[in-house]
Amino acid sequence: MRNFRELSEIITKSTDVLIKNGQHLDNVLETLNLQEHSLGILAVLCVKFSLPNPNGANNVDAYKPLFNQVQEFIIGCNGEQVRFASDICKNIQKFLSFVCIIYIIDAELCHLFTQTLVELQIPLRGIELLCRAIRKIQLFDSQLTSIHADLCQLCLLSKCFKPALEFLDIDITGISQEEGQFDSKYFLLYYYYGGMIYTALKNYDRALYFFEVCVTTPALAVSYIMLEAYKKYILVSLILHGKVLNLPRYTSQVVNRYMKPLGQQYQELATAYQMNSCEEVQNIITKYQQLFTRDHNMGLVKQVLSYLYKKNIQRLTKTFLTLSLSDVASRVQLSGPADAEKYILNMIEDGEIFATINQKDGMVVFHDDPEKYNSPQMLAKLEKEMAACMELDKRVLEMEEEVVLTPQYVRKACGQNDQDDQTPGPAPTNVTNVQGQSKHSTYSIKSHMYPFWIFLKLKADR
Amino acid sequence: MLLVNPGLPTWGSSAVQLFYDLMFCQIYPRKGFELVTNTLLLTRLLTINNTSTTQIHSLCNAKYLWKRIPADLKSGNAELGQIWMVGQRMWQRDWPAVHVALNAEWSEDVSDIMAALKDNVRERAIILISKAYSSLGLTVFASMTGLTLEEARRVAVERGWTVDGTMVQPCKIQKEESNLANEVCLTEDQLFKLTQFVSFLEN
Repeated sequence: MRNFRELSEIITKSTDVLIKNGQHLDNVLETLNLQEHSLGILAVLCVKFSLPNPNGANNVDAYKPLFNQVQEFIIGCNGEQVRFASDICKNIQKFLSFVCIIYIIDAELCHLFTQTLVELQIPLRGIELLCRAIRKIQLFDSQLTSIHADLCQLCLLSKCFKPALEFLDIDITGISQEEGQFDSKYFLLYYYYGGMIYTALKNYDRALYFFEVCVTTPALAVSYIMLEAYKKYILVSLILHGKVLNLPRYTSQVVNRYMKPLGQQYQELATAYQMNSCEEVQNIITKYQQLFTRDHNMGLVKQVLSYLYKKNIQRLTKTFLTLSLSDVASRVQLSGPADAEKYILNMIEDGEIFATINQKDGMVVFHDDPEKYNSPQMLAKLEKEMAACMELDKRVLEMEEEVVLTPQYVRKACGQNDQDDQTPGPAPTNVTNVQGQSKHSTYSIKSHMYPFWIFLKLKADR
Repeated sequence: MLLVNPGLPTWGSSAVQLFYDLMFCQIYPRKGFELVTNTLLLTRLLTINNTSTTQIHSLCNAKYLWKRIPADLKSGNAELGQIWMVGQRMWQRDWPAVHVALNAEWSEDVSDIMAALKDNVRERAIILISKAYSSLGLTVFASMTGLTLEEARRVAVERGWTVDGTMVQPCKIQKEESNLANEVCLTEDQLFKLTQFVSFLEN
């Protein structure tokens, strides 16, 4: 119990022994106590996942005992054990390192667990368990763990989104360190899958935000996850705003340099969309149908087309006060007055246009937006937005304080003035190079800090 | 069946939540139980929040619930298919077809909910019509609300709409003032908020 890190190292080294004795693992598990030997149990479980199934059959039933063991472990052990350990150690340092070890292995276990469920095509079974695992690992509500991505993947595959929304609806303000094991892959995947979930639920606003975070993550090379997110970003942006919003300035160079050519077909679609011609868009869709289908974006692409009809109807309201239904149909290139009436009816219900249809004469009368911005509701809304802005400002200040207090920042900002505490720091030449630049560029932001920036900047942009 | 006629008003959304939780967290689902939860959930999802934006959200959920119900359950239970038929028509916003689908024979378990859903859909259609039309044919009005011509005429007159031969001229429904009571705050509160804003903007 004295040094959990050492214990964990010993266990890692003995993995080979465990694999060789695969058939006896169940016996080993039985002799271990959930409360006292949780590290041991973790090691055995990880090995069990990597072993071929003893019964040979690769089906659901063969894995059931293993799932039960994992479930038992996640529900029963962690939190209890951590508290148990702290009582004995009375030593914060050891306690923290223990927590970290548990977390790394735990996250790994969750990834393996997810993979297995996906391969067996029973994603629904893991959702509840991963929710619990996340809650146990998180230090606070808005902290991102690598398991978040797993949860979103399972939710997508099982088409059951509600459990993931509980986590997605909270804006991330921190990332679990997992002792440096947090792979940027999980960050990208979380925002990519999250965006897909919001798209499926037609919450396009939030979806666009998620894709944007994914695309604007600082990067030196193109990731496939970012590329796919970029494609979806274009489509959702077209649906929501009728044009592709420019990516913010802090987007990495690679996005502009490599990603845009790679998503060229999507750019063409956007260009056709800008011309407001349904025919053009339809042509592009037919031309690249195979590609869109292969990217699994066909559904979204079709929605883009139907939103173009709506957009064109909206544009009519700017020019005309009254128009006959058949005129609407011919101007928007719909098949007939009945079709036009249906589109207009749906748009009225969604509050996208303000109009009244007169069936007697077959005319449509367009109105102005009745919102006068003078109601108490509007005031309440304004107050809410203001409160959000103030909260955000507070956060920025807090984070700036945090950055200013880091040794690296102090060292670079003060430069050579205090040579004394520079011994472990970078060579003096580096410091002089940096000195001439503005204060902001001298921030040395650790890689894990980037997401804070993105979060802040995006919020500020809104 | 496990839950016969729970009665619409008596079980709130927490019950729905419970079913939902059961749906996805059961490790070894029991067939019969799952079927009941599925049926109730689907109907419930169609019924709740049947207005404004949240309605789209719950329809989305219903759609994906339908997609994840195992195929053998779907084929084994015709009613489930019928319920989703209603959902599908609502998804397409084909109001006459929604009413056709709603008019099917329902078993005792869901008949109450389906009746409530019917009223709900009709109310929504009437509100939409009052918003979107200055005049429309009586037959169109009847098919959108799922009423017979006579009933439709009566409903229209009840609401003070002018029925002129085969044409109905709806009046705009005055939007009820939404619950202002909890939003209206004291003058002191407002002053406090204003002070906060100003001090924030100046710093």
